[in-house]
Formats: sequence, structure tokens, C-alpha cells
Amino acid sequence: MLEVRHLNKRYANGVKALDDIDVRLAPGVFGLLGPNGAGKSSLMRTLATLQLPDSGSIRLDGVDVLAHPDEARKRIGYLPQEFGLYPHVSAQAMLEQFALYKGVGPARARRDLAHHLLQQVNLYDARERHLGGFSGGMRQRLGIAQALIGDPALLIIDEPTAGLDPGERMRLQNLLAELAGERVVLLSTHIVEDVQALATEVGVMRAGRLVRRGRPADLLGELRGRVWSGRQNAGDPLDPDRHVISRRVLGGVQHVRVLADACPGPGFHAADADLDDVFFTAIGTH
Amino acid sequence: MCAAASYGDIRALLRFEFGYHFRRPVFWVVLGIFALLGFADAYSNGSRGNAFFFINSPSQIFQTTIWYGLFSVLAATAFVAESCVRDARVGIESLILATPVSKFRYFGLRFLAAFLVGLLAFSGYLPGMIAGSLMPGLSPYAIGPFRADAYVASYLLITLPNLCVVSAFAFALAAPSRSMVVAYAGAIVLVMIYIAAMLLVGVEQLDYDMLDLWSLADPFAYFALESQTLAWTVHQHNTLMPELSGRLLANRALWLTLAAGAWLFTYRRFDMRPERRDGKPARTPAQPPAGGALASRAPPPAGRASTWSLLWSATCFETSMVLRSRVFLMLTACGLVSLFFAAAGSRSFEHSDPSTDILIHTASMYFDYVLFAIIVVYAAELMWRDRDVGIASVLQATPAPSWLFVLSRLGALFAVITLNLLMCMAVLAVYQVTQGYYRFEPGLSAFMLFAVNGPYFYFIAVLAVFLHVAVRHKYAAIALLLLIALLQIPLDAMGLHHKILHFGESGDIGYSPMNGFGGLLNGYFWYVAYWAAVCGVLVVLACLLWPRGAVRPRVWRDASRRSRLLLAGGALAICAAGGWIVYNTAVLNPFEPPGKDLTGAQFERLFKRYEHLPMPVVVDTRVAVDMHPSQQRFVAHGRYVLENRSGRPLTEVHVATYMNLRLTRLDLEGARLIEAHPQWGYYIYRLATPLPPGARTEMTFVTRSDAPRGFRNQSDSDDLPLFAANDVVGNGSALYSPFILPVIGYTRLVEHQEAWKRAKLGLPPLQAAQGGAPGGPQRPHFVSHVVWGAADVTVSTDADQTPVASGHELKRWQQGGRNYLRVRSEGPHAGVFTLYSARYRQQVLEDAALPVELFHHPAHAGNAAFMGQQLAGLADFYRKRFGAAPFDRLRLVEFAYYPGMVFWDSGTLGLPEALAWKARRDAAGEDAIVGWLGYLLGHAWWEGRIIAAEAPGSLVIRESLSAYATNLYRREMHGRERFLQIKQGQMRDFFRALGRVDFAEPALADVGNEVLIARYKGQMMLELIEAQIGQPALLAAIRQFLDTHSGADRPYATLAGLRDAILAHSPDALRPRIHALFHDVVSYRHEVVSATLSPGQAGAYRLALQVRTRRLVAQGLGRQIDSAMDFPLPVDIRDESGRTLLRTTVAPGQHALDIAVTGRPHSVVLDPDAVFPSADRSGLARRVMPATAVRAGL
Repeated sequence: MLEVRHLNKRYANGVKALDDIDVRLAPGVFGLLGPNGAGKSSLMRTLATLQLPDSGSIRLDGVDVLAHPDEARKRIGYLPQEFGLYPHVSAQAMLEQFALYKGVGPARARRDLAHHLLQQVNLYDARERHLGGFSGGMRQRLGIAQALIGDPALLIIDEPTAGLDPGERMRLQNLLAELAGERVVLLSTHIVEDVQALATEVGVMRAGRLVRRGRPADLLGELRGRVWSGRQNAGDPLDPDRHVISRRVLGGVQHVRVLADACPGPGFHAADADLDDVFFTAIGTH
Repeated sequence: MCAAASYGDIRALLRFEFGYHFRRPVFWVVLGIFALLGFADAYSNGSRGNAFFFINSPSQIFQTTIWYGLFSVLAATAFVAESCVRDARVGIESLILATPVSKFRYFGLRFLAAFLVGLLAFSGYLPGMIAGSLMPGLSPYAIGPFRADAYVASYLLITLPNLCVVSAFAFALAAPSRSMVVAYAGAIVLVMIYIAAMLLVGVEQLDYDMLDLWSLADPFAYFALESQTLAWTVHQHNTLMPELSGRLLANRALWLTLAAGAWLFTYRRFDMRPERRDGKPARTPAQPPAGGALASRAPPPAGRASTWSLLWSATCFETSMVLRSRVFLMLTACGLVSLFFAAAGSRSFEHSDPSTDILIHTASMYFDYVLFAIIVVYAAELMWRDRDVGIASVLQATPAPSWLFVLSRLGALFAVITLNLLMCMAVLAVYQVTQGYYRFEPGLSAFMLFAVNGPYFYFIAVLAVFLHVAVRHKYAAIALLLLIALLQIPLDAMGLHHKILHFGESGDIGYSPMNGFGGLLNGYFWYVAYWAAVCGVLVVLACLLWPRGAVRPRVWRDASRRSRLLLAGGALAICAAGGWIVYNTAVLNPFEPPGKDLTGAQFERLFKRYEHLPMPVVVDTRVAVDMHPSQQRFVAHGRYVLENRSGRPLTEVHVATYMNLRLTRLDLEGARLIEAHPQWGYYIYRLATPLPPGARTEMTFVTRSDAPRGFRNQSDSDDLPLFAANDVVGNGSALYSPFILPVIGYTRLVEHQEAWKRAKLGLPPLQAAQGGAPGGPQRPHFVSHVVWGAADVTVSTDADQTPVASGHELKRWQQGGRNYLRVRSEGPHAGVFTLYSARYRQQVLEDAALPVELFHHPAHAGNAAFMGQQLAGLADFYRKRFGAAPFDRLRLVEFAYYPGMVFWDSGTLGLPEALAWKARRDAAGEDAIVGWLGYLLGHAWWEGRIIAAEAPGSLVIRESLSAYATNLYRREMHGRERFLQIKQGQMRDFFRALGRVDFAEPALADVGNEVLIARYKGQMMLELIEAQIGQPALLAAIRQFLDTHSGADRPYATLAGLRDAILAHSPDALRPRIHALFHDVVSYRHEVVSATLSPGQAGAYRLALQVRTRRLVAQGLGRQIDSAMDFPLPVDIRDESGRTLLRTTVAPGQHALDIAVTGRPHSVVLDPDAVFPSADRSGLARRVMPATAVRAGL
């Protein structure tokens, strides 16, 4: 169980990265959505003990993360959005080194654990290859593997599928789906499809605040019957009286989705709400 | 339109690049480092006032600039290499190279901008250097006129080309590899080669062949400049501007060409298509393994790793990352080769054999630069690698304790240092084998490397790690590390010599083959303990300060109880060790007692007013000296018989003692002590009844030295020797009687001769004793209170050592568990003797005409037999040339090198272990042995027969005659060619040394204590005279001079007497010119301007010679004035095989010769026997050219 109480953080340049974040997370996958600069990574780094908030508290299974970071790290697996690996080291050796840093011993145990994790992330056959030759997806899977060392209670994964091809993304989604179990998986992304596939609960951040939170079905239920889809010419201006959720131009035609309690006008028809709608309504300005 | 746009684009690109570099802190850090270096160096040197050498003279500016050039690799790597690596490192390369930018604009302009920025940053040294030399309070002898042209010339000829070279090579390394580590490694390899070259060329003795080679092969032009200025006088060093000519021009041209070639080669090879840059097909990332069912087994059970296994595994990982890298392998390979060449430089230390101690000494000079640079580079690499790779945040989020990150990286650094030291051991052993030397001494090698030289590097590694953690900026940490390491320079300039202030310094200890470390290790290891405690605290602090993301640890508040205890314990250890050190170096022993210079100055200041007071002389000495080597002390009980030879009644007797000597008792018949200055060793006794002229009286005394207590602060920077000249050491003691017995009257032994030193110490200009004036020919030279007399000496030592003394051996015996020896001597200097004690091996050559006894260190038996044979041969040679020996047997005694002196009393020659005993048995080494033996034997021969007067030039008598006689022996021993090589080498060495003296070269007749002039110039003048009057005449003159003064107490001999004897044996026409050789400072410079051949009559040839002959008279510090040539100059006409077809002479004033030669001439050589002392012999030989070729302009 992860309890985050009234977490605040303002950077030196005045940006409020965390604005009274207050959330309790039970075991399962929590998908954290938000645009760039919403504060997702700041929250991730704070939970990973890599930066201190200005105020607030964090408890993980009863451990005060801010007061006892060393103890907390034993329970956390962290995979940042951008990370590197030693290019001339094999996957096996790198994983064993991570196991070492997580206090696993003796050497044989580290080796066996590395073998197990490599199998789990489907990199066993590549275990002796140098990391410099790994594809993006392989690197991400190795990153997941190192985060799993020590069977952490909290997995913090920041933008895991960014930059991956569809095949790799699917493989990674499948992997992440297996991971929840009895742990909290905090998955940050701005790819709604990832959340849709994996998350048991979703949160949306905007400008440091958690503006939406709930199970996907519940969030979608809030928009049931209120989403309308229509078309107009690409160059035509949008009606400012309408609450436009999103617009997309395809083949010279604007496809517009609007939030309204009733049909906004001719050319619009009711549409099933999806998580994109939830995301855009959460972050959109009125 | 296109050209204007192109120019504008170029400006914009350059502006961007400049802005990029100027916004980086590293630019300002590098600029600041060099500005500070230039300032501190100039100010420090100017404050010390190193004699007459202007620190801002043109040649000094050039030399300093070259030295800074070594550090310019830092600037080149920081900017040029970075500009090649930058885009790949941040991941923007593909974006840029996908644009239509040309290679010139992308690569060429970027290099240009980086080069200019690096040049600008490095140029910080220039204002620093200028500012440092303009500071108030500098020694006036060290600062010359401001020479703006020298700064400009050095910048254009040295700075600019050197930075071009290092930048081009940094570019050549960084561009293809995209690695800063490769670039830094290349810089280290450059430094390796450079240091090895310096050692190969020679530290104490130059290998001139190597100098010729390296004057071209050295990219920084140090040796090229050395070649040009080799024979410059001090005046020339201070005034002349080095020229872009000869080897300097060749060097600059060669290296700029190589640099341009390397740059062009790299530039052309650079491919603007990233995927094919290395000529290989694009690398396909490894395909992921086939997908399948994910394993879902539970992870295998695993426990917690123990602390030690964590640390061990992590350290092994970090170490393997370093050792497996190609860069490290390259560094290791280059290091092996460089170390081997550095070992070869050991021969320059008095032609020493490759014994372990001398090889380690050479290697330590190499490591001071190279290993230090390796630590700096790898510390930065280890501490910043994770951030550079992008894995830092992942690792910092793990539960690994911070100490694991710190200690594992520190362990890797320690492993690198240890590996280098082990590698050194192996390389040095291999070198010994290649030289046929098989006494490996692995224990000594390991001890010297790891326990003596090694700790400093481990301390630096700790400091480096701490600074990187604490400062959190890579280049700022490096800069701070360099500053702390160089802090000794300004601290020494401020007189803060204490090792407790110099990071990592553990004291200067020397190794003696005879005496080992001589008790110096005690203090040394306390300093090691002190700095180890400091480093322990630094390690704990580094662990506490290790970053976790952006979280800044609060050192004390966040520290665990264990960390706090460790910190407290470390602080306590620092206080304990530091306190013990301070107690020993400042309470138990005086801290920074006045060194030799200050002591001598104060002595002169206080007591010179007594110089001309009449004093009695010692006519008989009886002394018993008990040496206690195991306790490092001695006590002497003695009796002088004093005689009044002053011609007037004496009312006072003044007694002086050498520094460190305690006079515990002195009884003078009928006298009482009226004034005592024990701090300076001067005592005044008043006689109740004046001693009449001719009368005698007795003085008994007890002198002693104290056993050392604790340890002292030993430093290279202060003026205190490791061991005083009158210290008894554990094995290999040599006690010189004036240093252990009282001296009667004021002694000029302590006076500083150098004008600059006298001025710096506040002393008036020196008044030389003049012949006929008080203190003239009536006083003996050097040890003026001892005259023709007798000495009876009994010396005892420990049971395991053998005492040796000069004089006729009366008796040896054992008593009370000690060994005794009694000797007696009579004649000149009988009261001056040296006592030796060591665990000797003894050899005797009884069948020589003059028996020879050798007392040597058992490990040096290899050369002992050769030395004995040579000494016997020399003695026979001297006997045939100069008459019977003044002693009945010869002794050759070895002792520890500390006194820095040689001895020759009454046929007992004392030669320290560092000279001859361990010389290589190659041609140069054997010649060096002969040189020392002949030199000492000559001294013993003359001083056994005559007493020189205390007058200017007296030193020349024994020095020049010894050197001349030794060369006569060499001439007989070697063939002409070999002897000529030796002579030319002597001449080169002399003029090179002359350019580094701290006095104005005096004429022979004015020599005070300038041994260099007395010995080598005197020898060369005698050989020049011999060439004019013939050897029989010169030898007859010398014999006459000796016969005049042999067996006579007074009048004492003077150089004027030797001169007059020579003149008496010279033709009338030559006398004025020979007379001038003693009174002018003369050298020569001759040159063959042209040698033109044309057919002669009857198959012979006509040779037309144009020559320029110059006699140079030096004034002051070497300002040379042309004067008329004095003697005929021999000329050899040689054929192609080198055989002399004809020898003729160039008369004084003659410049052209027309010579008929039978046989086709090939070359012309002036002064073929090298009898004219010449600093520059480059123009003496010339090939003969056919007249037709000359007319055709060929």
C-alpha cells in the first residue's frame, strides 16, 4: 500500500511540479496520465527517493519513505524514462551488478536470479550479448528486469513504451501486465493505449495536480452519453460555444469530438467515450 | 550572394561555437588554472632569486613556456576533443548530419573554434607569468628588463605550434573514437613519451646522441631549445633570444607537418554519413529472441550479501570495467615501453649500473607525472561514468549503501595504482636482465615502490574521489586536485616547508646501498600515518556526501552512528599523528633551524671582524675518536700543539666548531674563556700570559655529536641535509676532521662566494685574500689553521665494523668489544684527515709498485678489482711523471653518499658509494671510474707534497693538475680517437655547466672556490699550453713547481708560482699570451668558412681555405668580447677515409690559406686535437667542395 499525503514541490524557477498530491494506491497497476510538464516524472523521482518534496509524506507499507530512504529503496524498483546502460557489459553481468546493488548475495544467488529475470523478460538467449547492441525494446525489458530485483512492493515505471515499435510495445505491455500481482505498479505514460491495456486505476495530472482519478470504467461512465462526434471542413473554425474535447484532421476533414449533455448540432452523433476523452477533458481548458 | 551568405554563415557558426565554449565553466576553470600557474611559478622563482638567472629572460621564458606546453594537452582535450565527442554523446549527431551542412562547416570550423578557445584558455599563463614577475619584493638578481619581444616570440614559436600539435592529435584521437577517455589516454601517452625521453637524454649527465635524436623527436621542442642553448653563458641566457634556426626550426617544421598530416588524414576519413563512418555496414541491433510464453516460475531463493562480499564484488566489477577497456590496455602497453626507456635513463646518474635503488629513483620521476595523470583521468572517469552513460539515477535509487559506490570506485583506482607499481617492478627487472645485471632485490623493489613512493599516489586517489563527490563538477574537481597537488610551490616560496601542510607528502628520504634508509623511515611512516588518517576522514566524508538524485545529504545530521564514530576516530588519529609529528619536528628537534646558507652568513656577520687577528697554528694533533655507528654518535678526545707563527705576541685564541658539533670541554694552558657563542660555535679565550712568537702551547678538548632524537621535518625545499657532514651513520660513516675537531681562528670555509647570495643574505661583497697582504701567502689554503706537522689518530668503532683512517697504520686491535686503529702521519696537512667506519670487505694489491688497499661495500665487489688495478696503474703513471709518491700505500675507501664530498688525505682516497663503485662497466662507465680515481689521486699527490696558500687561484693548483694528469693517463690508455671523444665530451659538459653557474666566471688567477673553473677550465688551459710549448716542457715546469715547495712549510704555493714555472719553460714569444691565459676568461670560436678544391700541379691539389678564428674574452656573466687570436690553430686536411693527408696551422690573424695537397682532400678540420676551449664546435669541420661546384652555386 502506497500512501502519498499532501505532497508539494516547487522548483527554484518557480514551477509548481507537485501541487497537493494526495493518493492511496493499493496493489495493482496505476496508470498516471498527463501531458509533458504535468509533474509525472517529478512525482516518480520523489517516490524513488531521488528528490525531496517541500512538504507532505510518503509511506510505503508503513515505511516513511522520506525519513528512511535507505529502507524504502529495498522496497522500490525504479525505471526512469531515460536511462543508459554500460555498452561493453553483457546483460547477464549488468543484471548481476544491479542485484549486487540491491544487496542480493552470494554470487551464485545473483547469477541464478539474473537467469530467472532474463527468462521472465524474454532476454535469456541474449544474456551474453553486450548491451551496446541491444534494441530499444530489449533495453526497456532489461530495465524492467532490474526493477524487479528484490521483489519490490512498489514498481515505478516512467514512460516505458516511448519510442518502441508496435511489436516491442505489445511485448512490453504483456510483460507489464504480468507484474502487478501483490505490488503497486505506478506506470506513467502519455500514451493512453498503454493505460487502457494495463491499468486497474487511472490518474490524470495537470500542472502538478491530480485532476482525475478512478477506475477506467468509472471515468468512462462519467462521460457516458455526453460525447458527440462530428465533421467539418478542415479550414472551418471551431464553434467557441462548444466544449471541444479533441479534433483530428484526416484527409482534409476535421473530426471533432465535443462534450455536451445534448447533441450540439446537426452533423453530430453520439459516440462512445474512451480514455482519450477522459484525458483531454481532464487536461483541457474550458 | 552565395559568397556573402557563406561568409555570414561561417561567422554565425563560429559565433555559436565560441558562445558554446565560453558558457561552459571548464573554459574559465582552465583559464584560471593557467593564469594561476603562470603567476605562482613566476612569483615563486622570483622570490627565491636563483642566482643571476633572470626568470624573465628570453631563454627562461621559452623554457617555461615549453613546460607549460605539457599541460596544454589538458586544454586541447577539454576543447578540441570535446568538440568531436559532444554531438555523439548527447545524441544530436544524426540530426545535424542529416542536414546539408558541409564537412568544412561542421567539422573544420568546429575544430578551428575549439582550437582558438583552447589557445585562449591556455594563454592565461601569459598574463599570469608577466604579473608574477612584476610583483614587488622579488629578488633583484632574478628579474631582468621586461622583454616583450621574448613573450611574443615564445608565444609564436612555442605556444602556438605546440597547441597546434596537441590539438591536431587530440582531434585525430577523439574524432574517430568519439571518446574523451581515448583523448585523455592519448594525452597521457604523450606525457609518458616525454618523461621517458627526458630520462633517456639524461638527468645529471647528458647523452648527446640522444639529445640530437630527441631535439627532433620531442613535440614540445624542449630538447631542440636545449641543443641551441647548450653552450650559452649566463649572460647569453639572460639576454639572447632563441632563434628559429637549426634544430629548433627543424623541430617546428617536422611537428607542424606531422600535426597537419594527422589532422588532414582524420578530416578526410571522417564520413558525414554516420552509419558508414567506419566503413562497415550499418550495425543491426541484435534481434530480440523469439517470443514465447513468459517464464512465470517464482524467483530462486536468495539471501543478503555480506558487507565484505558486496564490497569485493562491486570493486571487482569496477576494476574489470577499467582493466578490460581498450584505452587502459593501450595505456598499459605504452607505459611498459616508456618505463623501459625511463629505466635506461638511470645511466645518467654517474653512469650507475641498473641497481634496484637507482632504477626506482628513475621510475619515481616518471611516475610523478604519469601515474598522477592516470589517477586524475581515471578518477574522473570512474566518478562520472554513470552520469555520462545515463544510469546514475537508476543506481542511486537502489538500496546499495553510498559507501559501496565510493569504496568500490576507490578500490578500482587503488587496483590501477597497484597494477602500475607491479608493472614497474616487472619492467625494471626485465631491464636489468637486458643489461646483464642479475641482482634483482625484489624485496627492496617492492618496499621502495609500495611503502616509500606508493603511498602518495594512493592518497591522491582518495583526494580525487573526495573532490569529485564534494565539488560535484568534473572539471572543477580536477582543477582543485591539480591546485592542491601544486600547492607546495607557493607554500615553499612562503617558507612553509612543513610536510604536514603539503598534501600527501611524507618526507624526503634517500636510500643508501650501504646504510639503507638510515633511520629515516621512522619519521617517514609517521607522516604516512598522518596522511592516511586524513584520507580516512576524506573517505568517510565522501561516503556521506555521495549524491542520491538531487538530495544533498547533511553530513553530520544524516550520518549514522558508525559514520560519526569513524569521523571522530579519524579526527583523533589526525591529531595524534600530527601532534607526534609536531612534537618531534618542532619541540624535540628545532623546527627549521638555519640551514647551511643562513648559518654561514650569520657566522660571517658576527665573527669576520676577527679574520685578521693573529692566531696560532696547529703543528701537532693527537686525537682519539670513538665512533658509535649503532647509536649514530661519536666522541673525540684531542690535543693540539699550537705554535705562534704570527711574529707578534698572541693574547687571544679563537676557536670555531662546525654546525651540529658540541664542544663539551676545552682546556688551554693559561687561558680562560671570555666569550662563548655555542649557537654559532665560536669561542674566545684570553691568555693570561701572551704567547710569544715561536712559542708553543697545548690545547685539549672534547667534542661530540649527539645521538639523533626522534625525527625531523625533511624537505627538499629547505636548506637542511638528510644527514649533516659530521653525522655518524649506521654503516658507511665518513668524518672529516675540520667538521669534528675545533678550528683555530676565524675560517673562511663558511663564506659564501657568490655575489648574488651574499647580497641576498645581507653580506658585503667578498674581499679576496691577496698575496702579500695579511692572510695572503702566509696562511694555508682551505684549512688554514693546520700547517706542516704531525698527527697521531686513534679511531674505534663497533665490533662489526672496520675503522679506516689516513696515515701510516701503526696498530689494529680489539678491546672492550670494539675495533681500534691507530695511524700516524707527518707532512703537509697532517692534521687534516678523514675517518671511516663500515662493514667493509677488504682487498689488497700488494704486488703493485705502490700497494693498494680497498675498503668497500661487499655488494660492490664487482668494480673493486678494476678500481684497484686502475689506481695502481695511475699511481705508477704519476710516479713516472711527477716523482715519488708522498705516501707509502694507497687506500681507496667507500662510504655512504650523504656528505656530498670526496676525500684524499695522505693517500687515503674516500669515494662515496654513488661514484664509481657502482658504475657500469661499459666504456663511459670505466672512463668515469678512471676520472674519479685520477682526480683523487692527483689531489693526494699534490697535497702530500705542498701546501697551497690562501690566495686567489690556489684552488686551481690541485684541481687543474689533477684533471690534467688524469687526462694524460687517459691519453696513454686509450687511442687518439677515443681520447678525442672524451675530450670533446668534457668540453661540452663544461660549457653546458658554465651556463648554469651562479657566479661570474673568474679568470684562473682569481678563482676562489669555483671548482668547476679550477678543475675543467684549468685543465683545458694546461692542455692548450701543452700544445704550444710541448708536453716535456710543461711536465718539467710542473715538476719544478712541485720541487720548489715540496718538503717546505713556507712559503706556501700559489698559482702565480705555477704560472711562473710554466712561463720559465715557455718560449719568449709565447710568454705574454700564456700569461694572459691565467688572467683573462678566454674561450674560442673557430669556423671553416669555405674549403675549395681545384687541381694543382703534377697531380696534386690546391686547397683554398677561408677560416674565421676568434678568441673570446668573457666579462661579467659571460658577455663575450672578440679579441685577437693568440696561438696558431692546427688544421687537418683529411681524405675520404678520415686519414690525415696534411696538418698545417693558421697563424694568428690569418684568415685565408692556399695549400698544396698530395692526395685528394675530402674534409678540413680545425683544432683536430680539441685543445682550444670552445663552446660551439659546430663550425670546425667542413667538407671540401670542388671549385667548379662553388662557382656554379652548388
